[in-house]
Amino acid sequence: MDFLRMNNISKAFPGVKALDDVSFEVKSSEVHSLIGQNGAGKSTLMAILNGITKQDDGEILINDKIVKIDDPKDAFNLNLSIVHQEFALCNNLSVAENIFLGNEPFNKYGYIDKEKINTDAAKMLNSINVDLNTDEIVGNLNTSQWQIIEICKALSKKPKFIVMDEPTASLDENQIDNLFEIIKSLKNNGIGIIYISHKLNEIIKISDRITVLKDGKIKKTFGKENVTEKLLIETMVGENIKNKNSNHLNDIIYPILKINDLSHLNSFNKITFNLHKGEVLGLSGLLGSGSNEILRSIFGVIEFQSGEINLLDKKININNPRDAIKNGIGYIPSDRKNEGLIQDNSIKDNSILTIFKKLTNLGFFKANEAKVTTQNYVDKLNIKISNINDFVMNLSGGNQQKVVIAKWLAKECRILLFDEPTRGIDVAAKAQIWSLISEFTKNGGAVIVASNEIKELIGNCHRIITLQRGKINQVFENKNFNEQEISLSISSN
Amino acid sequence: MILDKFKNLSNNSNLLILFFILCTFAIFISPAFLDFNNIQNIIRTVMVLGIIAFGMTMVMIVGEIDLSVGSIAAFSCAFGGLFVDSGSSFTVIFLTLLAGVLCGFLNGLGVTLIKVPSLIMTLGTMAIIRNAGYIMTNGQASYPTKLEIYMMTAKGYLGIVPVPVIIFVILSIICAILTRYSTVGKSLYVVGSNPIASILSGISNNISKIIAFTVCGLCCSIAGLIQSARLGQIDPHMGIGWELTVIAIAVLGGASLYGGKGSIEGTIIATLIIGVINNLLNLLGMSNHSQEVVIALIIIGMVLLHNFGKKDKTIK
Repeated sequence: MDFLRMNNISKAFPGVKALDDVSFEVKSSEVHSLIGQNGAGKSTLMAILNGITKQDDGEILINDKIVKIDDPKDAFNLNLSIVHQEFALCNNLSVAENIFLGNEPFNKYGYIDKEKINTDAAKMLNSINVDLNTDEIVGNLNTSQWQIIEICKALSKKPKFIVMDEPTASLDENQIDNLFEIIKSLKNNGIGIIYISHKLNEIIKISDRITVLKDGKIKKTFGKENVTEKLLIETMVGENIKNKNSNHLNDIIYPILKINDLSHLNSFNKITFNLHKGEVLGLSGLLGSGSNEILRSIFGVIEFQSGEINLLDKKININNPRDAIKNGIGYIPSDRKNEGLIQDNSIKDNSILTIFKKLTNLGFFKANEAKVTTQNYVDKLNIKISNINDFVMNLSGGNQQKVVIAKWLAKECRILLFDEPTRGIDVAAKAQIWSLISEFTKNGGAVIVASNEIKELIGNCHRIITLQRGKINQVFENKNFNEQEISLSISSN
Repeated sequence: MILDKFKNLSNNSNLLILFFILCTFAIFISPAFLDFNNIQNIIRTVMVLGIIAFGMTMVMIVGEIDLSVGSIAAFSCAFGGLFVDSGSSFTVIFLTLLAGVLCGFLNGLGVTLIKVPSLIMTLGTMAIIRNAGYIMTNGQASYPTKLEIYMMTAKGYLGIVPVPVIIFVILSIICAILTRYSTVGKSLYVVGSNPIASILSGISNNISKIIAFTVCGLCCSIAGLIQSARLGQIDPHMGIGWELTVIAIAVLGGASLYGGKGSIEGTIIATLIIGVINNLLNLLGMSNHSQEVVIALIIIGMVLLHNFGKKDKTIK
């Protein structure tokens, strides 16, 4: 029987204590799950196990022997494998080649021993009862098969312990059942598994033990018995925030945007909702729930297959972002750095990106007016800068986000779609972003926010729609806001 | 703004310093360098490629490249040359420029609508356009010597200033204004710097790219025109290998293969520098072949410098 133990681990980042005296262990043939809200410290704990981050305090033991994990290679040498949430596969290589990537056996001529990797891969797939052609090119397979290959990649390193980070995020129900069969057979082979997920019903189904992290501390560890989703949510959420919100729905009766039966391949299906004048509407769901894709569809970044979008009771065609913008819709992407801003351009050049047409006179660019417009929004949004000609890459996350918002305010949009607007932003700036959103809606605009920060949504939205697997699960009105119920509605079927 | 200008200036002033160092060096090597005829020779030779480099700079600002410049120059002139017997300079010049514009537009369409990477698209059109020129003319040159205005573009003088120099200066001013002060120019930089952010801000990347390629095609036909007039013959074999020097000029002038960078001012100075380098190598008695090696090394060296200057050293 082997043990992996983390004793009294602490880790502080500037401004936050990510982990505070956390102890956690997993045994051979055990599935020990780790759950917690965003920012609870799960990722930090895993980064420490994988040698990506170094703990400030505390120690890691394997079978009562203290080990040092300074980089991922150390973790590998200690028979500790990690299956990451994102796939890292080479689409043009075969299943077997992917499994043994970077770990290939060579034959006596110095070539990769194709026969050996094929037979070894077949053996490995067999051991977890999966029927998959080892010669198949990975690009031709589906996501659940990719997930299996990722697990085999981890297995090829002959691990004693495997960390799985959200392995079911992109799988459907049958595929999840398959995965759980695989996990069971891993267990039978004596492997200890640390399982991280947001999906509570799955957690309860697969785990032997469940540990809840909250604000960097271990809140409670549950055994297999007597655990319910409700109990887990209560432990995760802690003090239940109910309707603390002063936004009232009373005045919100005029629908601006009507989304009807919107569907896109497998990311979302028959989505219908209305957005009203003056409303802040929250969309919340786990990764793979489709909330981000819905925003991107409304903005014309991804093409939806069926359904329609009505603006003020008139059907509009949106084939690309230009169409959306023409209809007064603006989009603040979650990937601010790469999609929202041109990093090595000035604040001025970024805040007027949307209004080139307005700033043109006989083909000439009205540089002065650009300056005035920018300065106007810099003052209005309280963007902290020394000079509007500074590059945006030198700004803090919060100020960068404000520049993105400025760009849409300059365009005088009626509807703004925010994708994870407060990601990677400090607390003070978060509050400022939300107050900008509220001011925008008070002046007659309407906003959809896709976010997983449920506390923030509760504090600022009029309604919250929860999504699961591309479908609307529940709609909460602000008089019924309840953090535990909303969390439950997101993470449990 | 002040910071921006300074940064630009320091870059271009470095180029200017390089230019003067090279000139001093050239005078030192051979006093013949300062000879009026020699200087005229430098200017006449390099001006043609400099004009194309204006177009190339714009194409590179949007993050693309055009390898078909020599072919477009040859084809557009050959097309105009079909009509030398009309005796009208205006007709021939107009048709030459029209052919250049259409060729550039074709490149732009291929890169944007069919989404062929510009390296491949223009490699293809380089062969297609050139050979279309051969087929159209049966490989025969035509002679525009009777067309007075046509010949003026290379041989004429306005006072003591040669007409091609005037064309170069006027084009450089137009292109500089276009890139620096027009909205189109602004969007060229935006598209090249971050194509995703620009699409998500409602800017049409395709239109910007098509404009850049079209202007480049136009520049090629103007350059071809001057070259044909200079030689007194419209030769469909003209311009083989021009892309090398033209790209060298644009890159030396500050254009980046990764898009979003470059300026007409830089390209002007780079044109002069390449002219002096070529002349210097001539004066040193180096062959054409070694000259091309030097030009190619300049391209590679500039990209190397660019990579050194990068903060982000992520492995790609």
